[in-house]
Amino acid sequence: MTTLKLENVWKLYDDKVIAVEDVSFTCNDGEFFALLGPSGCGKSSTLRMIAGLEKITRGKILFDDILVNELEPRDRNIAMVFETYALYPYLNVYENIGFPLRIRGVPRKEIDKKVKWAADFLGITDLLSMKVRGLSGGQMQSVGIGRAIVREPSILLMDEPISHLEARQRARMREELVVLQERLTTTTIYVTHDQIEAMTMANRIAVMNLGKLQQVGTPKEVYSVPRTEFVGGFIGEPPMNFANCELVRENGKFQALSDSFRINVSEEISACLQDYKGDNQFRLGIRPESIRVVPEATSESTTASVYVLEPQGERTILSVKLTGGELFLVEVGPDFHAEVDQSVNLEFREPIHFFEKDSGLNLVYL
Amino acid sequence: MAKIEVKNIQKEYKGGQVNALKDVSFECADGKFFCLLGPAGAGKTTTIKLIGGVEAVDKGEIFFDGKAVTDILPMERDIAIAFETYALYPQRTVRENLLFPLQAPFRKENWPVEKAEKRAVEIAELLGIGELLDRLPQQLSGGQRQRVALGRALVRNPKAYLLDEPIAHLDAKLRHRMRGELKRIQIELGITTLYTTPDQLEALSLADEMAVINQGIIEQIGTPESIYKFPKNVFIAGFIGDPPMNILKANIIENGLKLEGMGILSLPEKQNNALSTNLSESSVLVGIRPKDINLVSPDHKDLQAKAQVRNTQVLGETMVITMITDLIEFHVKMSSEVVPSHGEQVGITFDAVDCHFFDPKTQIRVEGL
Repeated sequence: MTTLKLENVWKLYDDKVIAVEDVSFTCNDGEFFALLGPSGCGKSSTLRMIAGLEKITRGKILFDDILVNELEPRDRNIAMVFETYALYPYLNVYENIGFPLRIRGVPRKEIDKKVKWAADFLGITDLLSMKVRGLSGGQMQSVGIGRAIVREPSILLMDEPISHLEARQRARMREELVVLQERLTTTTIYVTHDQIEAMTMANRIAVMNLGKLQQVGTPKEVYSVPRTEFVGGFIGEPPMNFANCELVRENGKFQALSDSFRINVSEEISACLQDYKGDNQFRLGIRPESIRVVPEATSESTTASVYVLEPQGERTILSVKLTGGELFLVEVGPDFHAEVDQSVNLEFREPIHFFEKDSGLNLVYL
Repeated sequence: MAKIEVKNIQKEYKGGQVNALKDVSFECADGKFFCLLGPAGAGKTTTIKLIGGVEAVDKGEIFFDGKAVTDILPMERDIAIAFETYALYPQRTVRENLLFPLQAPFRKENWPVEKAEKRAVEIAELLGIGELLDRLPQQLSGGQRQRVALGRALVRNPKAYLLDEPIAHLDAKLRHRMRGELKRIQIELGITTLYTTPDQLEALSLADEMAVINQGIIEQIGTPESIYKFPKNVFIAGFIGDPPMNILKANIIENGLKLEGMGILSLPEKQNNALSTNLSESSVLVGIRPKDINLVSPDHKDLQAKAQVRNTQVLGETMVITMITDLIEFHVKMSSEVVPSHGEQVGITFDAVDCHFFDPKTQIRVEGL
């Protein structure tokens, strides 16, 4: 049971390339914590610094308030599960799982007890005597996890362990890993580029982009109140729609204006704008599920033309072109029908987000 | 423009050891977007290769607009192929790869240089690789290479596009964007498109018509809507839809079904009789989609079952709950307004009207219910 803390951690390669820039966060004891971001965002570098596989350029990493910066990986009591399993090919399952204990000089009886416990925990007892080479991907994955948990590490690190699996297997493994972690109660740091994985598995998520931390929050928080435009666009499928607009005051009320729409702004946003000192150019963000197609045009509605329809069984994704040229996605029912280029009327519903153009920050966070 | 017909084609590899296509027939109507959907190893790539003429059929025939092309060379078939493995010309730049089909030696209708260049740039920008035109394939990421392969197929206006999992290796966001663009291009150009994919959501969103293929056999052909609503067998029922349809075992009793490991599902008399007549034994497989199951209190009167919440996956406004009983596990999909706790005991209900019935022996859908 361990709390992990990163304080102003930086990683530079060759003194020039900033891979991780001033990242700070805390993972609570027993938490399933995801590091989420696109390739090159710094999540793997961060994980490797936590593991001790990379040197920290600046900042501190603490396990339960103990500074681990200078500790070798083997002295940190962490264990890692890799995307490519990295099993020892000439050892059998028993030997693979027992290896971390064997090299630490743990007595044979103790190794036997722990290996059998790990195998039983993962339901792979009947694979123990098998050679690793003949196993399926899923079985190899379980062996990799077995090898990681056998030492009962303080922190479990997982580096994109299921991204190479095909959709159905991934869906299955997402469930299995969550159930596993709940039973283990070990603090787990999970790196992924797949927002579905992070959203469905993690207690909290740290979203990263270009080396910087964008937001740390629960899945609900990063979904409902994205701190930056990047988070808004990265979390959620189909992705959030964005458009440039001006926020102007008219008759005491604020409105969002562009060539494509004119909509009222919520009380909450209006309150934020009262003391706002910056210019009035913003990026509007709205999720496809927050837009409704309405039968008649009203003073509140926005006109658009149908670009393409993508039926998906339980719902249909409608792509439309706004008058200003922006392509927006709208979630509609499975029986929705329309012709390409047909005109439709849209209603934008809350939550509607506004992000500063330069900083990308959500107005409500300022 | 071409109608593509494939009749009883068979293909074996390794002297009969691998039966890639057992007896495949389907028709891709002129100007339509046709998806061939199936898991890995089903025979999708083999089908593309045979229709393209890259390989020869062992048995069966292929027709374009009613004319047999089975013995005609690929370059005479006037089709454009995007291979799953890209097959880019390694010593040529992205621009040259895209231009090649428009300026290939021996091709009768080559385009004038200016027109070809303009087209190459147009397609590159559409696919988001406009900045990469002077790079070599080895300098590109997998996703970029895949888009070059797709672009190379799209530059021409052939009789048909044969696209083999053309966006499979792009990251999720890009894949979604490309799906919409591809569909739009196809609608605008009206070019017959045969598109293979293992992703059922992709097939549902793109296809005018589709075929589900599994282990070299066509399982069902129809519109995405008809296959989604009336899957012909248990394999298709479990393959289309995410999360997959729950398949429950049941026995026919007096006024309905006794679900194995669960409770009773009432059936109107007509349905009950129809089931009894259609099945040789008294057991049946009941398919129910996760979205058609409701969560109720465990004390509810007419439950189909009591179960425990094993796991919840919340994705924005919807969530998928994994439920377990003593014997089985199944999934429920609903709005994420109230998220149950792990381990919570709940009741579930569903309606016979939303159920699909399959013969346990043949795995085939029981019709007429």
